[in-house]
Amino acid sequence: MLKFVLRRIVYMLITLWVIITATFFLMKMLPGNPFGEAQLKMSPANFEILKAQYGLDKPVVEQYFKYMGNVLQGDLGVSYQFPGRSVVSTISQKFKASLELGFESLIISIAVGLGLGVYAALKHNKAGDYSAMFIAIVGISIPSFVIAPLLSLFIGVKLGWFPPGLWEGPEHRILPAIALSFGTIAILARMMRASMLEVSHQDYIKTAKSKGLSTKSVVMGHMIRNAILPVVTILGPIAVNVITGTLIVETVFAIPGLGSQFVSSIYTNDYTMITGLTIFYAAILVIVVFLTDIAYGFIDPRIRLAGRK
Amino acid sequence: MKIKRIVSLLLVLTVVGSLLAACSSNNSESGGSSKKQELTMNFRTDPPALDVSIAESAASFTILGAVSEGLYRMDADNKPQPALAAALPEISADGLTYTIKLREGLKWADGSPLTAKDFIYSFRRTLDPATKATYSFMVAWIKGGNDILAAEGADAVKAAQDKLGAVALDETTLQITLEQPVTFFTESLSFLNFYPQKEEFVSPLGDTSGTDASKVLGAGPFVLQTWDHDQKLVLVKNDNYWDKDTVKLDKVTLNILKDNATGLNLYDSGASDYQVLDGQQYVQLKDSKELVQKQELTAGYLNFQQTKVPAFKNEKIRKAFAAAIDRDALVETILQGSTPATGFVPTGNLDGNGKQFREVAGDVATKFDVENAKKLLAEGMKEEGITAMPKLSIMGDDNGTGPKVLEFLAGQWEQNIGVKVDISPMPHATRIENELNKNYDIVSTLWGADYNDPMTWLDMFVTGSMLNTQDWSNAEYTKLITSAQTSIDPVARAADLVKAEKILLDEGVIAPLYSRTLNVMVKDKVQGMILPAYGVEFELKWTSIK
Repeated sequence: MLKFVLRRIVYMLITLWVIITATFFLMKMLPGNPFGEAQLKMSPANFEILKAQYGLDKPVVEQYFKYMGNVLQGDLGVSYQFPGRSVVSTISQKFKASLELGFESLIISIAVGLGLGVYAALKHNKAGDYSAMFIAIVGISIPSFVIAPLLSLFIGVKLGWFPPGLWEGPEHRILPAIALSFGTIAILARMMRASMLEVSHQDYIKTAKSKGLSTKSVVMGHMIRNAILPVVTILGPIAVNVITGTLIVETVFAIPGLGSQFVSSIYTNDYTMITGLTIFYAAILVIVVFLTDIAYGFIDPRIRLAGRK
Repeated sequence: MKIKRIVSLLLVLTVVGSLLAACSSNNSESGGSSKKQELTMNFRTDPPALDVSIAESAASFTILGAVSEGLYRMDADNKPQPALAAALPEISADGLTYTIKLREGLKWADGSPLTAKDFIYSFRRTLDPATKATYSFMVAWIKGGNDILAAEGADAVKAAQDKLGAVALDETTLQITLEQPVTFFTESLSFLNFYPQKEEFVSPLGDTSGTDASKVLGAGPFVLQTWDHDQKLVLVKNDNYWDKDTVKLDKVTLNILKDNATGLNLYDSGASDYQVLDGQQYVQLKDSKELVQKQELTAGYLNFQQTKVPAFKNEKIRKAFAAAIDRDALVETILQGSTPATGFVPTGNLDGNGKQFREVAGDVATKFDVENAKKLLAEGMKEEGITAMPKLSIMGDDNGTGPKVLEFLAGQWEQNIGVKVDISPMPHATRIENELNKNYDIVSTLWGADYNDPMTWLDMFVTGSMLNTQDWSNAEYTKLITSAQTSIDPVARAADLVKAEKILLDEGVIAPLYSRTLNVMVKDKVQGMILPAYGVEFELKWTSIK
């Protein structure tokens, strides 16, 4: 187990290094610079001074090593777009909202998605199955940039049930969390249904039934527990996707999260913010995948992480 | 079993509680009641920096204009009214020296005294190359300003700062000597970069100045109480403001909303009193009584690069491209609410002699005339000895209406003069860099006034200017602009600038397209809000709730 964990940590660090390096050099290939209107207002001489103050007059390779040195000390630099604001403080301020929204959405997605999947499998080839899968197909077909404005307009303005935007009290959380859940509910429902159907044909289920166990015991104790394994495998990446993929929903509901920050950073060539956010997202992803592997081992006792000899 | 019940009960309570909270928030008027002097506005972007020296965006100018103040403040008629200054400046006969008396007993929002030395510190800090101030060029109009900008090393900067032509004669008297006359300098003293700064507050903050509410100090009508980045800013009345009795609003909440549709939803639901509209929303709401239109000093126009495309050295070919564009149709179909251009300097810009520049200069833009465009193109191509135009592309921004404008223009040229032009939309930062590097055939570009004088538009095209990216050169034009830059006779100066614009458009150097208009929804209960044509988005000092 320990050997496995250490090996995975080394892989994680290598992955992160590759991502940082690739992002850094790809970003430097972007046309333009991070100074926006400044170059229109400053004399060329003063603009060169400005670039020198940020170290952008140095060769790209030299800039890279300096940047990596700072990253190793936990310093991701200062935003060009927002002078004086460090990348680390911006991420820590804004990730809170993205994490909260993602977490709320994930709870809804897991509850509704798994529920729909189980229900559809138990009602296989009956009206219940078709209804549940129809809901799933609708969910996966309507992108968040359609569902979010519709929820904001109809539920928020026309019906006035919840606020159409902003990020303040608990009532402001409901519409964005629902908007963000649609796609994930559909994925989880379809996957859970397929997994349940596969498990229902296994010999140990037939054995359990022939032993006279109640349907509830068979479903809860044997089917769901085994069927959920492949779903758990994708839960990690899905969680990351939900937490980091909130751009549209954040923009529509005016949520001060990281998604919209990432896009505006790319538009303004905010080098430090782009790289900082990429490192952050990549770190979340590799850590979650790592934790998923560990969780997988706990759920399925047949898996031996270290590989016994 | 008990645990299940408790969990179920908690879940039900959570949902019910949320619903009740939602209902109560919908029933309450978060936009402010008729008695409360509170305003809630949708604000389109988080201000990058609320630092007097380095602010460069309208968002920063707007908030700093509320929390601080310069020597003068522009009123509803676009006239500078004494603000921190007690009266308009005494100007020497040569137009170079401005002596300004401050009001007695001025205070910063923290209650400490504000004196003339706070202005000197501010000017010096803005001009210090280490501050990286975008608008330092305006402060550099002060004698010795450019020497500071060019100084290398701390000692050289300090030596140059000591020679700056701005001195505090005493605690309430400021004297500014200019490098050369600037006829609109009094108006410019209301601009953000001439605001004072308190050294004891700003200096210890270093690069973090203006990054949080606690790191912003002003002497204006309001105080920045809260700044939740990318979420909201809250302004409250400043009790230490010299003119606090004029300020009616107690509180202003600015919610950061980048999505126009959501902004309008909040406006419609009563959660906001102010919302900027995009083109589509304007079309739907153009008959609304709550619609307010603000003519901005921002113009869209085309540049033709003459070195990369030698055919554009020919005046007739350039003018053919301009004559082939139906500007009225462009505005009606894509830029709803904006105004078709009749010259380069936009409507609303003064001429430096107290008159509207457009009224004096008249309609000088090339008229839309398909037959004339065809004729000019044929003659121009004959003069250049070419039988077909080279492969051309038009570059522009890829956000907002940018791509649609490019498509419209390419369609006009193909349809009206038979010239196929590829479109090349790209991110704003990339477009600017390509434009400055002269890496384009035709570029659809924008310019916004830095100050209300034709010079902000016309000095771009003098020979050798960094912003003259077309590689056009005209000795007479340069002479007229240079003469206007040093003239202290407003009548002769204004006449020179009118002549200069006429040369620019007679030669088809640029093709003006439109003056931009900002369409805004403002609730009826909001009174006295000024929407200035440039600089700040809105002015709150005189705003109240009826």
